[in-house]
Amino acid sequence: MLNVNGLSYRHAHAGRPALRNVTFALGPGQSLLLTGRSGSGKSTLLSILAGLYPHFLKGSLEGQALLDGKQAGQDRVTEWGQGARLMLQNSEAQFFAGTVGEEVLLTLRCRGVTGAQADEMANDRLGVMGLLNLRDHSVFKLSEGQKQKAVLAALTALRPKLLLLDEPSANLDPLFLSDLKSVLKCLQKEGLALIVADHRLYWLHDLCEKLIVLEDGQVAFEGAFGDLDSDGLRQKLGLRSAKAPKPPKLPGPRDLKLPSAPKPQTSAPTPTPAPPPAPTPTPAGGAAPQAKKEIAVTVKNLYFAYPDGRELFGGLSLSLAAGEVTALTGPSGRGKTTLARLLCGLEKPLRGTITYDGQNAGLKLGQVVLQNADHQLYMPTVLSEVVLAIGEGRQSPDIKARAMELLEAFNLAPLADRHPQSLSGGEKQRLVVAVGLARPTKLLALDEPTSGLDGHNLTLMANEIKKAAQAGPAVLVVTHDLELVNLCADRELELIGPQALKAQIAP
Amino acid sequence: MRALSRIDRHRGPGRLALKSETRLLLMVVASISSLVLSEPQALAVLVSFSALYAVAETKPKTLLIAYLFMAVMCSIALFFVWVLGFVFPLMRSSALSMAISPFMRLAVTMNAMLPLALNSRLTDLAMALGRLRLPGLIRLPLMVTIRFIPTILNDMIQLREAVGIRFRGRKGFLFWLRHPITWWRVFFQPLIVRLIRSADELAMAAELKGLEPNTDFGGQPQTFSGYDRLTMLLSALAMVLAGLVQIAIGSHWHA
Amino acid sequence: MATKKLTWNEIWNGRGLFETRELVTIGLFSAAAKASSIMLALIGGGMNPLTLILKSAVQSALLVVLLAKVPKSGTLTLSNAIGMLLSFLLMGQHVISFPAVLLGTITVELLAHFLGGLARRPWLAIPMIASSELLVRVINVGVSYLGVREQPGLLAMVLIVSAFSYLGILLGLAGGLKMTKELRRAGLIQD
Repeated sequence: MLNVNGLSYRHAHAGRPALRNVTFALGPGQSLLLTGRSGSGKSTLLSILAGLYPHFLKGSLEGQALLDGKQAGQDRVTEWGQGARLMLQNSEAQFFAGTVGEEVLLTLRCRGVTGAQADEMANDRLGVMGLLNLRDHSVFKLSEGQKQKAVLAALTALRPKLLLLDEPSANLDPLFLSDLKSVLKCLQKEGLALIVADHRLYWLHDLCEKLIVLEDGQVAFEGAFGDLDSDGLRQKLGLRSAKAPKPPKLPGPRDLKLPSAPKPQTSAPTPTPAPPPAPTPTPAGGAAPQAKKEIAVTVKNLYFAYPDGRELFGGLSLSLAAGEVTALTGPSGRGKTTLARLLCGLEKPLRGTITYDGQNAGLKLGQVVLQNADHQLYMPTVLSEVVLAIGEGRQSPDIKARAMELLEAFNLAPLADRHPQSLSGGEKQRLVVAVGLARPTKLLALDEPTSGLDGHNLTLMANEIKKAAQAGPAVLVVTHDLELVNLCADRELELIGPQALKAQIAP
Repeated sequence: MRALSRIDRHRGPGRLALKSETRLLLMVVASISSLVLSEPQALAVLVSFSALYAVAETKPKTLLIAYLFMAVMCSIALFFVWVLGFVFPLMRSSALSMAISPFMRLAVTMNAMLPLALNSRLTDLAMALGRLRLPGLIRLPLMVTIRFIPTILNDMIQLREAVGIRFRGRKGFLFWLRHPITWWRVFFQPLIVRLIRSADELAMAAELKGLEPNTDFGGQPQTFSGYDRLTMLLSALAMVLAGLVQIAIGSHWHA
Repeated sequence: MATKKLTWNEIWNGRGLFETRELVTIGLFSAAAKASSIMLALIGGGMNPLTLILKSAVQSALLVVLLAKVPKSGTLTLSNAIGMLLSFLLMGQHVISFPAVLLGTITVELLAHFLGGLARRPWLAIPMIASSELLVRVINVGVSYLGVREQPGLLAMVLIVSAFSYLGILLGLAGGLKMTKELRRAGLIQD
C-alpha cells in the first residue's frame, strides 16, 4: 500500500538534506513507530507522506513515496489527503469550527460530502471515538485527550488508508494515552495503516509492530518494536525507555498532612499505565526518613477555590526543603499546576498559609517556569536573555560575567550569540530554566519541562534540574513524565482527585 | 478556554433569540439610515424603534450602563466644543435642535449594536458569515480571524503572566514608562513569534483538511423565526416612517 | 501538476491571487490586531492617549511583519478589509467608510505595484502602510463630519483621536521594521 523508496529531501536554502535515502513499506492495518532524536527528520517525513510537498514544503525531493501507486507531490494536498491524513501535535490549531460535530461536518464538506450522508458519517466517527454525547460541545471546553479524539474523528471521517500521527503523546497524561491507544487499535482493526512519530515509546508497545529510528535524516535502525528492549540500542540512538516506567518509590513531601476528607485512599483509580503496588499512605508524612535539611517552603492548611466554587486541596500541609526535588504527579485536571502556581504566589489561597522562611510566598522569592518556552523568551540573543533576567534592564560587566557562568552551567555558552527563538525545543527549555535561576530564589517550580523531549534531552534536563536544586532552592516539578521523576526526583506527591493525594514511604 | 469564556460568558441568545443574520442586517440598516437622515424628528423615530429593539434584547442594567457611558462621552465632546468656541467663535453651538442630531445618530447606532455585541456568540457570527455569499478571498481569512481571536487573547493572558513572573513584582506602570523599549520587546516579540509559528501550523492544518477559500463554512441552512420576521418588518416600517417625517418636515436632504 | 485556466467563480473566491495558507496567515494577523486592541482597551481604557498610541503602534507593527511574511499585492487591502469588517461585526463601526477606505487602499497598492511590488522592493511596505493609514483616518474624519455636520465643533475630538493614533502608527512602523529584521535573523521569516 505505502512504498517509500530511496526518499531524500532537502529544505530550501538548507545545507544538509533533512532526509537521506529512506526506504520502507507498510501494508493495510500495519503500524510503524517512527522515532529518533529531535531534528532527525521525523516530522519532515510525515509531512511528505501527508502530501505537503511541494505545495507547502518547497525544497527538493528525490526518490519515491507511493501510496497505492500514486507518487506524493503529484496530486494537490487536498486530493492526496483523501488517502493519507496527518494529525499535528497541537490539536487545538486543527479546529476551524466551534463544536465537535461541526468540525467533523466541515471536514466532510471540504471533500464535497453534505446533507444526510455527511450526518451519518460524522455520527459513525464520533461513535467510534466515544464522542457522540459531545457532538454539540464547544471544542474549547474539551480536555486535551478529547481534543485529540475530535481531531481523529474529523481526520478519519472519510476513511483514509494511512493515518500519520506527529507526537500524539506530548501533551497527554498516562490515562489519556491508554484511551488514545484503544481508539487507535479500533482504527487499526478497520484496516487503517498507522505511522506514529513519537519520543515516548512505552505506550506504543503492542500497538506498533514495526520500528524505524531516524538519525540525521537516515534510517539508523529498522526492525520490530521488541528490538527496543536492548538498552545499548536505545542509549546509542538517544531514545527513551520502551517499557512502562516503574512507578517511583519515593517518600512524600516533608511534614505532609493529607486532607481530612475524603480520606487519603488506595481505592481511587491510579492513572499510571502500570499501577504501582499498593501504596502505603503516610497520614502525617512523619514515617518517611527525614534527614535534616533547611526548610525553604512551608504550606499549612491550604484550601483553594476556583471562580465557579469548586474547592481543591482540603487543608493540605507540607514542607519543601532547600536542595530537594519534589515531583508533583497525577492525571490532568487535578490541580497540579494550580498547586505550583499557589506555591509561587501566582494564585491566592482561599484559606491557609504559604511561607518562605517565614515570609509570605510571592514572585519576589519564588520562580515558576511555565510550559510554553516561547512566551518566556524576549531578547535578541541567548546571553542578553539571561542578562535581562539578572539585571532587569541594568547592564554591567559583572552581570554579563554571571550570565555567562549560568549559560556554561547549562551547556548553553556556545549558543550565547544565537537568537533564542532559533534554538531547538530542548535548548529553549534549558534556557528558560537557566533564566529561572538567574536571581536568588527560594522555590523553583517547573511545569512539564520535558514534554516533547527525546531520551537524550530528557537525561540532560534531569541533570539540569538536579544541578538547579544543588544551587539552593527547593525545586518542584509538575509532570506526567514518570521517566523524569525516576531520573531526578527526591520526593513525590501524587494528586489523584480534587481533595485526594497519595504519597509513599521509601522502601 | 479562559479567554473564550471571558468573551462569550455573558453572550446568551437574547430574549428574542434572533438569528445573527437578523442582528447584522439591523446594524447595517441603522448605521446607514441614521447617517442619511438629518431632521431631529425623523431621527427620533429611529431612536424610538431602535430603543424598543435594544430593550427587548438587552438586560436593563447593561443598557443603563451603556447609556451612562454614552452620556459621559457626549459630555466630554460637548466640553471640547465649548472650549473651542472661545478660540474659534464660528464653532460656538447653534440651535439645540441642530446640536442634538449627532447624539441621536449615536444612540441609534448604539441601540442596534448592543444586541449584536452582547447576544451573538463569536462562533454563531462566524457561521452566519459563512452563510453569506462573500467572496472566498474575504470569507476564509475572516473566519480564521473570528475563530482565533479567543486563542490569541488567551496567549496574551499567558504572556502577561510570564512577564509578571520574569519581572517579579516590578511590572508597575512606572517601571514600564521608564523602559518603553523593554515593554515593547517583552510584550510584542513573543506575541509575534507565537503568531508566526501558529500561522505556519494553522496553514498546514488548513491545507491538510482541504480547506479552500470557497469552502462552505455555514453548516445547516437557517430558518428565520417569527421574531426574526417581525423584527425585520418593524425595522422596515421604522425606516419608511422616518423617511416620511424627513420629507414632511421638508428640510434639507443630506445624502 | 497541470495548470488550467481559472473560471470567474474561482477568481471571485481568490484562487490564483492568494493561496490558502496566505489567507490563513492574513486572518491570523488580523485576529492578533483585534485581540491586542481589545486587551489594551481592557487594560488602559479605550480613549486615553497612551492606549490610542499603543493600539495603533501594535497594529502597524503587525502589518509590517505581515507584509514581510506575505509580500504580495493585495495583502494590505485584504488585511484592512478584514479589520473593518470585524470592527463592524463586533462594534458596528466603519460600515459607511468601508467602500471609500477599500478604494483608497487599493489605490495605494496599485501605486506600489507600479513601483516594483513588495516582493521585489520590501521597503515599500513602510510608505504603503503610512499612506494607507493616513488615508483611512482622512476618510474616517470625513464620514464623522457627516455624522456631526450640524455641530462641526464635535469634530475636534475625532481629529485629536486620529492624530494620536497616527502618531502610534508611525512609532509602530519603526518598531515593526526592527522586529522584522530580528525575525529574519531568527529564521522565522524567510527572505
